[in-house]
Amino acid sequence: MTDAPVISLKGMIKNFGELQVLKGIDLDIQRGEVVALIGPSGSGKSTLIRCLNMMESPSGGQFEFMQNIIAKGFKSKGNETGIGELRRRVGMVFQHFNLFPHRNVLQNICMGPRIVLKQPQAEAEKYAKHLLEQVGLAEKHEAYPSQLSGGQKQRVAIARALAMKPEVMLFDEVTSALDPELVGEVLQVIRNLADEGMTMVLVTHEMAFAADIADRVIFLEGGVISESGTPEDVLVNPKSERLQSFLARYHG
Amino acid sequence: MYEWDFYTVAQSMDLFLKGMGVTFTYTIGSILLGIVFGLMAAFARLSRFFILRLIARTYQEIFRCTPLLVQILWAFYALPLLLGFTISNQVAGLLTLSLYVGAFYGEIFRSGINSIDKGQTEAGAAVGMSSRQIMWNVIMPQAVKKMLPSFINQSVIQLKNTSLLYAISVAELTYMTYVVNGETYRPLESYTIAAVLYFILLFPMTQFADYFERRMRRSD
Repeated sequence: MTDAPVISLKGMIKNFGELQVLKGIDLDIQRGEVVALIGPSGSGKSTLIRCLNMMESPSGGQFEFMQNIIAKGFKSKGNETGIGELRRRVGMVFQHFNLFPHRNVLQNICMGPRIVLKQPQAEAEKYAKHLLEQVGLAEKHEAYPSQLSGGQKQRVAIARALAMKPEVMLFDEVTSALDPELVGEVLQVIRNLADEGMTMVLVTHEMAFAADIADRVIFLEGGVISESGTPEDVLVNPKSERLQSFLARYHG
Repeated sequence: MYEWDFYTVAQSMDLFLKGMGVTFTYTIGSILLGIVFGLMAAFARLSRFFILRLIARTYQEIFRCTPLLVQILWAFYALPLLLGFTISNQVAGLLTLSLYVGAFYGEIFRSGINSIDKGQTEAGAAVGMSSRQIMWNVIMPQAVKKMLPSFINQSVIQLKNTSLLYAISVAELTYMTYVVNGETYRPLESYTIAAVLYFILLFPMTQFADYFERRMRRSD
């Protein structure tokens, strides 16, 4: 079956002032695909994933979501409705969780559905509780973020993104701020999502996890895709010397 | 040895109380109007339009960098010359006080809003909220907490600042004290009573601020 890609980038460019961070990215992501972005810091992988829900607006190139053009050329500020629509369908989880500290766990999860989708309270809460069960935090629904561990916070953040019933999930270094012993519980939640067929893009430093979960691994360097392929191709048999030395640092 | 005589002055207690009432009214009135001016100034300062930022900044700096007494006198005696019609002392007084405190509130609101981590805005945006929804559901509830101590502090100062309205004969507490003193020739008693009455008005407010701050800290 040759479905049109969910996300399609053509020559995407992102400048921060004088600095060009993305130098023409071509990337198609199919439904159900799990794509891992790896690369040294400053390679543009975070910027790239942040462009996928217009957290950063691209400076050039074309960005299509479900065959709708979200941003094209340099007039890519986008209108708020179009971006809002995109963000409703593309969930994002951040490195630093960014939970709302003034709201408890259940309210954190219900806020999007309540405010953006105008769901009734009862419906939003019912689904939120179901999601909390899925991420293994059913008993925490009345806790405030400050009462949770990092791993728990991140699982709540994932549930918050899932509450919008997104078609794509973006994970931007979601385990980088966690204590090592808490990483596993978050990765397990992401693994479950992958098993359910969620389309996902992850920026990660967990190479073993990327190898295990991703359908495709993309090595970004200096704002361009320098290698791309199956985990086997990229992580086990890297072609370029740069990638080899990058990976060597992880394998020790 | 000075012979205290509160009896004579206490005969005019009704004037003191009336003055207290007027002081209270101007305080509440100018705080409410000031919140409106302050919010407008804060949002203008945070706007992406240069002209709005410039206007708000100009307003704030004029009112922050000139003495309130001069502003009050200017509004009552000088402004009518430009306008071509007179303004009552009540209107001139209330407006000047409101604009004055609004300039300071604007700064408090703006820095409160700015103090909220950018990640909060992004988290709101990531679930598809509009900037307005983010402002009222995510940023403001958190920012209000941070603003509150400085807001109350500024409001305490505001109540004391209403005393400057005596200069344009608004019948607030200080003006009334001036009147009582004129009748009784008892400045020590008159102004002591005035000071005590101001204290009675403000002490609960500072206590409340402390209480509120402690409660807020617990909920963090």
